[in-house]
Amino acid sequence: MSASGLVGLDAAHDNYLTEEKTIWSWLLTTDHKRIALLYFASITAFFFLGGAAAALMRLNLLTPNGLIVDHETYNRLFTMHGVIMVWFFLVPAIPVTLGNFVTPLMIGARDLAFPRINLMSWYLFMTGGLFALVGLFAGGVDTGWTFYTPLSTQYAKGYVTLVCCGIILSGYLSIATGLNFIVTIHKLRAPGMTWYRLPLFLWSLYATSVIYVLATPVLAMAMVLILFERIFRVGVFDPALGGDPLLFQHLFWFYSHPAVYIMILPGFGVVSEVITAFSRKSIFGYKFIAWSSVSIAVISFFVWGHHMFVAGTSLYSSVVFSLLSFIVAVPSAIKVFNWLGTLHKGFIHFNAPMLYALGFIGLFTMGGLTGLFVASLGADVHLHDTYFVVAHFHYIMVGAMVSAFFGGLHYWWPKITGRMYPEVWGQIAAVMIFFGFNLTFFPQFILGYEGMPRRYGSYAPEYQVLNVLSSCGSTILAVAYLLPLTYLTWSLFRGVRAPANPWAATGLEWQTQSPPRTENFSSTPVVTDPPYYYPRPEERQHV
Amino acid sequence: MSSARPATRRSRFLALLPGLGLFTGFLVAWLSSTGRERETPPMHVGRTEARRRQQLRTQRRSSVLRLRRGEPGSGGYYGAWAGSTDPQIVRHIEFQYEGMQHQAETALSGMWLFLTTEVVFFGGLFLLYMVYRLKHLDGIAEASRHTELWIGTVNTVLLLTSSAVFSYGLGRIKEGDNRRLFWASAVTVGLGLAFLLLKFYEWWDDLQKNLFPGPGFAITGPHSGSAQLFWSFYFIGTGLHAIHMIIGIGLVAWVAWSARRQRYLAGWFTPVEVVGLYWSFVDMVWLVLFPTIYLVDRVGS
Amino acid sequence: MKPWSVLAVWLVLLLLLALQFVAAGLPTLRGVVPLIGLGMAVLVALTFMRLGSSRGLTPAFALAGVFWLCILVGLGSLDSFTRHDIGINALTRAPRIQHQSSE
Repeated sequence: MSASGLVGLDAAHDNYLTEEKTIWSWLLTTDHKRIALLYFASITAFFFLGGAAAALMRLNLLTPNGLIVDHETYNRLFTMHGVIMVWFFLVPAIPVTLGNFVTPLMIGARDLAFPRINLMSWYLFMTGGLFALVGLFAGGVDTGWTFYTPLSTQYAKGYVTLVCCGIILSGYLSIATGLNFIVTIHKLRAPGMTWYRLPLFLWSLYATSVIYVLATPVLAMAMVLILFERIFRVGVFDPALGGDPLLFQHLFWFYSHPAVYIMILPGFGVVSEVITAFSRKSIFGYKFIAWSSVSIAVISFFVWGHHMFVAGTSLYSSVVFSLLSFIVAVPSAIKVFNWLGTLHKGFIHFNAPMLYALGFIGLFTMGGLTGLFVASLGADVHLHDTYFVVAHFHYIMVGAMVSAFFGGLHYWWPKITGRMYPEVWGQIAAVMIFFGFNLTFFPQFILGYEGMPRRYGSYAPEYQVLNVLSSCGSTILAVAYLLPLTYLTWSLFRGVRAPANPWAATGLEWQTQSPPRTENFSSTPVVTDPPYYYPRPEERQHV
Repeated sequence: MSSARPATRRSRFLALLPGLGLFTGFLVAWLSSTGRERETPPMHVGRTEARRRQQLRTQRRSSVLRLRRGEPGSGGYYGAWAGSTDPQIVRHIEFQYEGMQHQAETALSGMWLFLTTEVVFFGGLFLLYMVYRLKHLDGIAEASRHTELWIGTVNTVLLLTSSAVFSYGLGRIKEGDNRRLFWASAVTVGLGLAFLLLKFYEWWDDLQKNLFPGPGFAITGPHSGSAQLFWSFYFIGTGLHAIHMIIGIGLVAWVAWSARRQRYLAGWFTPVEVVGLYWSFVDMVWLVLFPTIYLVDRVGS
Repeated sequence: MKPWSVLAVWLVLLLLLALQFVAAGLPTLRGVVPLIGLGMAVLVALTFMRLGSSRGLTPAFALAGVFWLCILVGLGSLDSFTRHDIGINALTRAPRIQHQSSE
């Protein structure tokens, strides 16, 4: 009887968890599955840290004059929330955890193309996270996660340099992971795994990796320029010298807009997987979804100016960016319609992952449509820097993306840990998250429309009712997020043992044992079926 | 007090770079040299099996980026060595690859992808420079006349030569000649160090002439502001380039060290190729930096 | 690459460098100078980095890099070149706060 370790496996079979159990075998592992678990631990920690900051913010906003913190601290809280959630949770989230684990399994490979770079990326991530956390907790930064100059370079008191160094280091995580995934998907596919037989999760990861690789260096340059200005007290963006503060914003948003697509694209992939598995039906319009992921990745690089409509950019360029922002919504809409087409006449099972995916579709649609509001020049003049924008991006990042993360986590939990989670609790948590989320963020649309500005620790009294509603919703959301933490941990020790394919889903990852052995497959698989092959009995044909 | 502090801050600039660069170079070299011991045999395939897999793989010929996988023994990058079962070569193949050809192609594509990220990285800086130059041409032109043209030119020649020499060395190791590779790499390291020495001298000279932007900047008058913008771009651009140079020198030195120990084979020299790509890329960046900093606006119109 | 090819390319690069100097000295040809620099960089890529003899992923990645560079520089400068700035007199620069934190 084994009393050791993370998963109390009296293993019926050897797997990657039981292979070696020393601490060094974990810290120096090059096995993509173990690295994924290392990332899981870090990502979870960062998620709850960022969430704690958000909880304090919402608590503060219960009364018009700010309930618990002063303005300076409030500024530091929303900066901390933004920096941690964006760079240390959302940007890595699905690719480094679920992606790392599942990608080689899905293509029938034994590991990623560059396993040591994979390990190095985790250490870079942890080092960067350490720098950022020290900076954020020791004295904090009050510039907002956007670090606009000249506030961040000339006037901000705080640990801007330290946090920016942390962000640069975590950027290397993005580049390394993206590089790994792109090369792996090109080069290590099993025989018969052509591009059009790839699971859509991998198409999404590929698109995400393209953005990782091409956008992050520009962020690095923007951060380097901040560091140069701040350390050497030299004005690179100083108008008094002829510099242009907007150039910083251009460099920053050239990364940060594609970054939001980094955050959502893997979620699209997870939803495609979950919807097909729990409708027992092939995806509707496979090629459309596949190519829409790639086109989102490409077009996302052309739209960053919509963050700067009221910053002083020329009208000419604003019109161009507004038009391109409307265009980038089209591929996302194609995906939503295709998912609905998949559900239509499917044999739907309301397991927890499916509930999360269905929630995703609704919440993402709302978030995406409100994005079009702020992409319109006229409306944005009124809505920019109000809670409308806050609600818009939280609908996508939290409502859609975190739901997709949890959905994928539950979907692949049996594969990763070899245990089933308690289904009823999973469904309760999914529903609770959906309602808590809407209660938190829907009032914020109204608040923004009525003019409440963002990044303020206090507000005019007429906004109080909606703010109280929002804070109540955030309490429900907090409890709902703690639920999976609890029952998933419980399932590690007491959960029912999972078979190789508990969902009877297609995909190479389900053809191997749960949890997988270290080298993933006992022999190289050969793929002959089309993707998502769920034939009805009368349609069954031998390919 | 305020005049003393900027001076020490600027000298931090010179001290920071070598440390950063060396550390990164060693990290990269260490990571590449500690390979994982083979526990399971490679997914090695015979000729007919390879052909069958090739057929299965390319059944749907609609993928945009088609891979050209050389079949064993048929040529391609590693020529006759591609399908070799020589244990000396096989032990360098990692377990997730089908053979040396597969692994080498993957490593090279990975390095090219990394270089693409570097292109976009420096591209951001060039965006900055381009906008400033077209808005403040006079100030930038005046500022660029204070650069030392002879240092820049000598550095360019040094870097071009080093790139050529390393490329020669790469050609030699394809024939299995570790000795010539060692000398080529050693010369490359020497040329790189000469570049850096001249660069440090140039920076020291620029600091002596008060050309670091800030209070006390040497160029006064109506164009002082934009001249400072140019010199900021100069220090950031050459500074970042120098960091990459230091990392590159570390990598080439590691290649020289390995070649000295006869580590490379005619059938396996992937690290040499990968390092060569990086080194030539650092050269490419300089080839674009050099005219923008030293040449373009030197002669007034 | 054969040693003679390496030598030939090296000589061509030196020639292009000399050409750059000539162009820099003539006011009408000043704009050509960075183009020659780019040309030298492309030559290094095609020869020393063996881009010219590669197939498959490698040229795809290289082309992608060039494309994205063009987007960054082109679309990024669109705003700056269509704006009309009002310059600030350098003497009206706002004072910096002397802060006591880590930097």
